[in-house]
Amino acid sequence: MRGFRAALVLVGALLLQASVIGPIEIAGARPDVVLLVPVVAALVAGPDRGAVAGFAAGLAADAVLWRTTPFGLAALSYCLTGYLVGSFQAGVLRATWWLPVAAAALGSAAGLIAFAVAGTVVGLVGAVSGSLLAMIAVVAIVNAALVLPATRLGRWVEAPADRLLPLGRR
Amino acid sequence: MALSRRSGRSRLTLIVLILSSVTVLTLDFRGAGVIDDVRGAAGTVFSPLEGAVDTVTNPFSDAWNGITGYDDLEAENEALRQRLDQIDGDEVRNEDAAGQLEDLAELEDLSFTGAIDTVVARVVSGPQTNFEQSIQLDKGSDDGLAEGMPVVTEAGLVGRIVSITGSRSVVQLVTEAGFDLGVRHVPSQTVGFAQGAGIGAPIRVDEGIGPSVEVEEGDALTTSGVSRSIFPPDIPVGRVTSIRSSADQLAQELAVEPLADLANLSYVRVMLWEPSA
Repeated sequence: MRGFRAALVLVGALLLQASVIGPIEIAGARPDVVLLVPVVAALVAGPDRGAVAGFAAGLAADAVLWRTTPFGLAALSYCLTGYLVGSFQAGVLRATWWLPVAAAALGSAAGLIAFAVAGTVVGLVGAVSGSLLAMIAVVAIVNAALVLPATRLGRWVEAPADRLLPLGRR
Repeated sequence: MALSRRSGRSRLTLIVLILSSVTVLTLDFRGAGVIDDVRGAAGTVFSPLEGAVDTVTNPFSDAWNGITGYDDLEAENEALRQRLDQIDGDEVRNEDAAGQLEDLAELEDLSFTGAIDTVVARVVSGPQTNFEQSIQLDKGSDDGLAEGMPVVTEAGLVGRIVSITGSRSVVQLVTEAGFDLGVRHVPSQTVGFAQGAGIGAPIRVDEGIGPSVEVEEGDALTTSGVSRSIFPPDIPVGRVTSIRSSADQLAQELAVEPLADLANLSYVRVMLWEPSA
């Protein structure tokens, strides 16, 4: 049941990226809400789950969104993102409201940098360029803005079946 | 103790996932068919869902792009207005404007596609993420398309098909970083080597155009069509926007603006031509 909810959220994120968020270009860069999947999984369930969710989301994105980049690049960078965000959160002693926001912004930036660096290593021409800064800024800001409602969705995915409540009552 | 054990397990999970990613990347680089099959199958399943969502969300995306691209639209509108004024002026000045118009109409019919058959396809989606510039067409191998076929508009080269399923094909745009092609500088007929330079950047010609070749801004470039070229000859590619000498002074580096309007593609033509033909 938890797997089904996770798959549902992942497909929703892919569709949102493909049809709504992806076509929007801001300063030559596009937001990336699929990167929110590992970030939220890590915030809700720790680095282990963050890395697994990142790998799954990355593979799915490699298959349907990243049509001309090397297959596996998004899986690699997203799973690193999930692990880093989960470790960052685990290392913080006191939770505050802005922690997920900061984690989403930093995690998104780290994910894009990991993608660009790994991409350059495997021969993706132009991955590290001047436009990378614009991409980092756009993705980090959009994901920081969306992380709080997305975390609510993440808690819904993680909740045991017998304790499921409507999203609005969490 | 428990925390340390959990941390150790997380690290193990991460290592396994990184190794899995590297394995997948290696399979892709080695050209394993399974990767293309996975992408094809995922695309086949995902496309109808995406199409359904697009139908609902397109008006909102268009509205957003209209708002954010307002300045560009205004500048483009102004440029078009000036061009129209210029054409009006030329028409008045030309005594045999009607004759010229006939000539232009004939030229219009003389497509650069020549004897190569083409298939018209609709662009169903543009780039959806950072780091890649591709579009998706509503036609695939069922319509006679194949990997490697050139995609054009009436203005010139758009890109080429890099992956295909029965009903869809993915086109890598000519401006994508790493897109390589042979070009011919039309005034001098010199053959050079061009490559895409990424989002928002012009195409770069950095090999083949020696320092002795006379190049001016506005000069046209077409595909070279030399032996084993991935494109047929004489497809318009773009116009030179800037020229500079290479660091070693052995060549000229040209920035080339594509003739096809890659940001606003609705319909394109796929030339039924394969590199091996």
